[in-house]
Amino acid sequence: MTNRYEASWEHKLASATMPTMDVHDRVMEAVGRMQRNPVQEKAVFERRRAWLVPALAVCILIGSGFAYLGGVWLKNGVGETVLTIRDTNSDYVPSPVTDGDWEYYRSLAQPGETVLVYKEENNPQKIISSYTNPIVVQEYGVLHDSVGESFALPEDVPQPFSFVEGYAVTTAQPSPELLDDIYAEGEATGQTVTRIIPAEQSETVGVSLKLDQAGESYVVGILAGEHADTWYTDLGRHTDTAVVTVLGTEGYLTKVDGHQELYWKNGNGAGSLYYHLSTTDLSEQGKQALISLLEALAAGAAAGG
Amino acid sequence: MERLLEQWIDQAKAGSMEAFSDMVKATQQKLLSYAYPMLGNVQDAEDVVQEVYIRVYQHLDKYRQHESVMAWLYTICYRLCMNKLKKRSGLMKLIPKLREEAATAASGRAEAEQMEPEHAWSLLDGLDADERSMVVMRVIQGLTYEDISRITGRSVTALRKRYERIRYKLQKKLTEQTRETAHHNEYKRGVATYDQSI
Repeated sequence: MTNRYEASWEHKLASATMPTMDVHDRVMEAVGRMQRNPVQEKAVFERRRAWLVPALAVCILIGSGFAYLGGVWLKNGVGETVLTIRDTNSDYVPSPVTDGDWEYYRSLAQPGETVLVYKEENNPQKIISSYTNPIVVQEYGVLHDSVGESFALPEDVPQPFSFVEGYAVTTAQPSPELLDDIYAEGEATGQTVTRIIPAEQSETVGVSLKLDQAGESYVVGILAGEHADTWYTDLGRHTDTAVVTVLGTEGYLTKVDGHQELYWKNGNGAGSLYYHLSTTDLSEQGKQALISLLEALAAGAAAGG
Repeated sequence: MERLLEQWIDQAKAGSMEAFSDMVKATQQKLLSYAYPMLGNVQDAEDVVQEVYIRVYQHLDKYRQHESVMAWLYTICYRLCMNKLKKRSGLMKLIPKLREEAATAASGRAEAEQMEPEHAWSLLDGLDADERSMVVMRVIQGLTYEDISRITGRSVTALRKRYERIRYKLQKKLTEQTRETAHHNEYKRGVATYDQSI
């Protein structure tokens, strides 16, 4: 005979089997490394961050078709740096995986999955590149319901733009064990090593939208501010740069490689959002469209943040 | 136990790795059994709990004597889990069946470690991160409302009300699941009879 408790969900959950888990050895190994060599441990952390940058860049570059990362130092009216961009980055080097190679590696990842690629050859900094295959959706409502709140997306597509497609920008952080495993295999075989991280281990760090207006294409990338503190680019390629004020905060406009782009950040640190808008329309009308699109998209973020 | 934990923390502050190791051994199962139902798979649970201890080690000097060590550990673990769930939730909403597909496609180890849909853990599906955390803390960890209040920063009264609402919701879900299982068994019996008659 079962009593009332045994038939309850509390009993069912309390008696559910827990898998065998143990982190003691890996914790002690990690703190041991920290104790022995705090500088080296910092380097390991930096190494983990190093692959993250190509991950985001690849994701945006490939996913949006023509989005481009660029910039300068940008300060607001009271002298605070709201966006820092330098022309070179001595800490982060470009991905050793060529565009041609990506043609193949991209095909290994199903939508939502991340493929990690490690080329042992000519890779002294041991950079692991990654690409997350985005889950592209054609309905704005679906995107809004899934990630709209995190990135302050308005309930409806800003008029007069029409929604073409969009996706959540995601990244997956591999465990230290997985990184060690990849390096070990690379060193042992001298071959390129690939690993797939399932979608459910990914975190959403941004959203990308492709819009259309009067036959001109507009691409928007919105990233959590913490992932966009610093961007790097070649300043020489910016032939025309101007500061613009949107919703009381400065951003900048630039024309580069046949695109007109607008960069803007609504604040600093956790909770802030970074916007990057791009269009093939180089005219004054294109510039005004970028500004009005940003105003519509960032209105919720500015009000909330 | 709490007193022992405090001693280990003090010794670890003074540089004793042995004391830190003892503290990890004594507390890790509590944290893992919180993180696993929260995150739904072994790898994420282990990653988060490892991160908890690394943060503790890095901030041993910030431990306050009047604070419970266990509550301190839970608080860090709770925040890391919530943070992970928050970042993950958008993606999961985008493709609701992703977890099942990922589990099917994953290798043997991952498959074995993934929560089975028919398992008791499936009761937690459909709860938001806050509700899930509340249930895990109350039912699996056996924490009091006062303990949970210290960890989450919410009032005891609000927590009690919330828990009652979740109780009702889950009991209803369990009743429905039981009914569905009974119906399914009846159906299977019917199929078996039909097969035999052929």
